[in-house]
Amino acid sequence: MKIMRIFAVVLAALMLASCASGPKIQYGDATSVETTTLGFGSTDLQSIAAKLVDDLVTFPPIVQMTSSRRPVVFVDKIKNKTTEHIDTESITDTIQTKLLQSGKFRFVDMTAVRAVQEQMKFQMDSGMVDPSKAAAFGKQTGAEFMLYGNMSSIVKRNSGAQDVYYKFTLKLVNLESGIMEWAGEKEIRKTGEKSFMSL
Amino acid sequence: MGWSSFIVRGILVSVLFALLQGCATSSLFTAYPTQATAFKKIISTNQTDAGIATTLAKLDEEREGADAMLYMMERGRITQLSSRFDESKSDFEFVISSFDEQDLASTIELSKAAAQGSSLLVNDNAIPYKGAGYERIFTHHHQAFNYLGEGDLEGASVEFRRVALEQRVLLEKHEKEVANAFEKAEEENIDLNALTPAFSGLDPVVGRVKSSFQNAYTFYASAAFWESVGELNSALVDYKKALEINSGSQLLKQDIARVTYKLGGQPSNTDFNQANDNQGVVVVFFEDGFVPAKSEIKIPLPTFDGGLISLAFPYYDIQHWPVSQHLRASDEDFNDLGWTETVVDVGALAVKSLKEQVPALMVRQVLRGYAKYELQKQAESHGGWAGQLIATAYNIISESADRRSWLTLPQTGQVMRFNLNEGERVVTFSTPLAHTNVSLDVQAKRTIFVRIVNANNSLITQVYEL
Repeated sequence: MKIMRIFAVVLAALMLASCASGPKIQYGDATSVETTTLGFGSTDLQSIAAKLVDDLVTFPPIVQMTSSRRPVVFVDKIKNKTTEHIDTESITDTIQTKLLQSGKFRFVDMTAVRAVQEQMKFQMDSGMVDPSKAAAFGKQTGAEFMLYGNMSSIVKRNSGAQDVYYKFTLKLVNLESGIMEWAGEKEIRKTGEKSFMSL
Repeated sequence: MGWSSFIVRGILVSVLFALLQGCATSSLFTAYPTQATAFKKIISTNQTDAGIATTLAKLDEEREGADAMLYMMERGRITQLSSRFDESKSDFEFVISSFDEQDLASTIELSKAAAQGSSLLVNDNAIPYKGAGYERIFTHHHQAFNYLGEGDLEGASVEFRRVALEQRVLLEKHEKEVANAFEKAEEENIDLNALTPAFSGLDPVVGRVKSSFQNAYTFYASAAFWESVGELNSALVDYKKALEINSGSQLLKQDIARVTYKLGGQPSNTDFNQANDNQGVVVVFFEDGFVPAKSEIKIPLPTFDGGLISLAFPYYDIQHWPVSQHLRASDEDFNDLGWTETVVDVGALAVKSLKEQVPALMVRQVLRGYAKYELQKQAESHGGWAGQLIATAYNIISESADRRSWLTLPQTGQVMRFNLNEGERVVTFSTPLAHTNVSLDVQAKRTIFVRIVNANNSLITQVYEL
């Protein structure tokens, strides 16, 4: 009978293996440190944005330049040169928002330009908008500076540990003169080690 | 014996059968290659959408199972070849995250130890599928093509960088894993030398590749990609790595000479297949056939009390190894544009990968053989009728080798590269048994990837404009 018991236990174990308990959902602090995996996460995004914005707005020549006016900036795409699919647009969005809120810069949003163009074309050509009240072409302000950069990573891994190093570089260039007015860098290192035992 | 006990017995037996039927899709009771025939059949140009949908839905059911990784690899390839790039992307994302989890999984995982334990009484199919090194490389390779299919060059570049990283990491850690198995054998007092000669028949195929995961087809794809986006340094590195694996390749020597020239260096070779200013480049990726499935061999093992037990091992039947075909390209005027050159023999990668797993496999199998032998002896002496029935049924179920592997992968990966004058061009691609016409919108100084998959003698074509 011992045999039957062993067999029953094996079968039961095989069948139960597919069962799992339901999900547990809760709200958390959006700025709390997140270490679910080694991959790029919210904490990295936040620390990059905070560091670079801080660097930019406290850089003496920039402080001087922005003391009397708010230059117009255009944000180019950040090149992703890592081994992960990172939404670099969301990093630049955060940086842009923080810079805007600092009250020192203004931005042109290239993604919205096409929609704006269509709207203005409609106002001009459709005949449905009073011409005296339509927004006129040629009145938009051109950007004076461009923000661009890239993000790269070095990943090392062996059987016991993993190490990821990220480097995020951001540059501010004067579109007219081509002179680089400012550059900032943020480095992040994360390591993960195998634990000996888990469930 | 009364009627009641008859009924009880009947119920017992039918419950047992019902259980077995319920698990029909799992490879625990149905050999995986049998299940995979259906997946392979679906890869063809003459499949209906409904047929594909049925197979995909069936594969989707396995998402929660222990072998989810394996089924998602198959699903990802099927969806990719029917140009459902978005769906394929999420299938492969699942596989990639499973591989990533393994990297940081703890040394001893209690839930896995349980699976190992039940595998000791059933068979290796009870251990969740973990994927082989070459399968991991192919996963990223396919994922890169999903991004190319969606026109997302940055996404593709991430995958190509990732696949280079994985090839490097595998190179570093894999020798260690083989050594570990030998240590374990020593601990358990198992003499591997008595068992391994049974696998020496695989050596002619094993000898065709240098390692079980390094894949020149993937290196070539990434090199061609880097070259087309202008990252010549990365392209040169990857062409060179591909040449390291296939040292005789004329195509690769041309590629290296061309990129060296573009970088301002002095190539040793004067023939470098350079496109003129009014020409575009066509890189052809040809995937022929299906990688062979594992079969099973039984190896007898003497027991300590003079008995003999027979152990089932996975094996490759290299007597009936398929011969791969090459692809020929010609233009509208029947001029030869070239033949493809084989850069990876996936079958050989799979065989070498199995050969490397043999020591670890043997340790598990021998321990299991002894455990089952004990069980059977006890059943006969104490179990009576029911014990014997169960022991017999049990042996039928349990004595089967682990034959799981990604089976919709091609048998070989081949490449070819030629230049065409700009404009609308029709290129004919043919194998000895099939041919297809592909129209290409060739633009000067631009690259087009043409991927052709020969499955069941129907040529599936995909064009990726870079």
